[in-house]
Amino acid sequence: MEVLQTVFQAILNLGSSVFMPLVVFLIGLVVGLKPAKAFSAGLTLGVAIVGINLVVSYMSTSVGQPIQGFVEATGIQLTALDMGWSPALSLVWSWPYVFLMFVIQIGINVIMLLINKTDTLNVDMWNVANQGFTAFLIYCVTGSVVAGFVAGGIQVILELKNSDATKYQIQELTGCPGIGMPHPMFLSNIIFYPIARLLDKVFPEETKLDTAAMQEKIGIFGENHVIGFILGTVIGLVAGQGSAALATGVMAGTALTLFPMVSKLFMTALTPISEASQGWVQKRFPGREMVIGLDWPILAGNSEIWVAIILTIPVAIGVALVLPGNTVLPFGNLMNVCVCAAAFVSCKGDLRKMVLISWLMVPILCWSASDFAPMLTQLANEVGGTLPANGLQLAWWGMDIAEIRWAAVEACRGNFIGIGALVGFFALCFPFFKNQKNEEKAAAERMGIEIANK
Amino acid sequence: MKKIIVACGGGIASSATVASKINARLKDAGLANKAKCEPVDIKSLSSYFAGSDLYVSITPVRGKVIDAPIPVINGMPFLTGVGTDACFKQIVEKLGL
Repeated sequence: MEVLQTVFQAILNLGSSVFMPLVVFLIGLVVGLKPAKAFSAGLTLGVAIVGINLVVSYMSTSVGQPIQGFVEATGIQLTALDMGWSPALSLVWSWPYVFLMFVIQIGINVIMLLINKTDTLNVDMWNVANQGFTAFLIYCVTGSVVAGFVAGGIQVILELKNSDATKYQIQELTGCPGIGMPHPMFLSNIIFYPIARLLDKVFPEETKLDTAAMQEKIGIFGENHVIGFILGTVIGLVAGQGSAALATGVMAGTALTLFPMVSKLFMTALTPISEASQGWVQKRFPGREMVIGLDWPILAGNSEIWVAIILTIPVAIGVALVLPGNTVLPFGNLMNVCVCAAAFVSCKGDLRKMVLISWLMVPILCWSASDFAPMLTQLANEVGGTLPANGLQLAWWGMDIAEIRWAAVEACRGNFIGIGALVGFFALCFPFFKNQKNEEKAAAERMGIEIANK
Repeated sequence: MKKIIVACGGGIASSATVASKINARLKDAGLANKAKCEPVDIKSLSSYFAGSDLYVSITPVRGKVIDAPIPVINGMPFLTGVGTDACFKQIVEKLGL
């Protein structure tokens, strides 16, 4: 046993760029991949981990230094830089414990299918990192890996329940039967849904906005390189760089363009494994009608989501500059899907309501990002040694379920507001799931489907 | 070399999954030297149409795929795992491989 532990520790000490490929290689063999394929998948993950650290450290220098000038020039204490969801989740993928989340996610899902507590089979493996991030946060504040994975497990259960409870609405929105949305961001609808129904009273009539035309006009501001360039140039100008600010802009655009290029390597590595395990589970439940749980982007063809996001950007930056207690400059995640794609469902695509909810969420996104920045910075340092220069922190502004994660983390710290918020969230689950039954019935009726009474 | 593109919200997760599955199948079918699939960001999609031969859509809006200047097919089977064979056949046919 002791030998095993020593060996394990020795491998762990080699760093996650060696450890995680090994884990992926072994999992690959277990799920039946050929050794060569498993090796290639594992090594691709290692490349992705090293690659993402390279880009994060590039961003920390090229954008981080002008930000310091910005802070000195304005006196606004923004000490953390939002890197966006792709590097943030990529860092979680480099957290050595995250592979446990794989096992827990698949285990809970299979058990719930067996005891008929869910119809959803979640095949979205990328967002295991999102469950892992919750586990990581709780682990950071409690010091207990077990507590972390209990929290991650609760998230898995809620995600599956939410996917079951909204499948007809998703079918109506996509036109694709048999799929569901277990993505964590849709858990925010437990809070957004009642707000959206209040807003129904403010805007009772249907909207006639042509969001596709709006997206055509302002869509360019949502492109990674453009958004990075604009923000980088402005920061450089305020920092007193003069014409050199343009170079800062191009570098900021470079960082935001390179992130997705590197992050997709994680999926290249994980896809063979996810495909094999999906096949394995589906073979175990022959004839069982299942809802296949997918990642959110199957909704990405709806222009309302992108327009709502772009209309939030100026508010996000404005609020971040003046909000007391905020330390994060929204940057990499300014295209904040997590609020707007969820609100798209609860607001039934009404842009006005989506934008209002999105604006309302900005302060909460700022505070939660500020709260978690030290933990993410430490993780970046541990897995890649990319401690940003000059004490700049790394943050993830606009993360999925920011409000719920903030409540959970603060509750673990014994903060009464956090405890109250967490209790409030679980209390809101009851009316939410009850109301979804009516929504589902209505959606099924509109599509001409009969729902069997359960 | 024919180029297939598939787009999702960030060009990172869903699209990379589908692209990786399509590329694996192309390889298994001995077509890896004839076509390649690339994941792209849907926000920059329009700039990728030129130079691509087929768009595999995984973002259906109420059952419709978008209008594009190049041939489009519905790639949802590559996400759900249901009907993947037929979908891959469609890709091969559309590209005339």
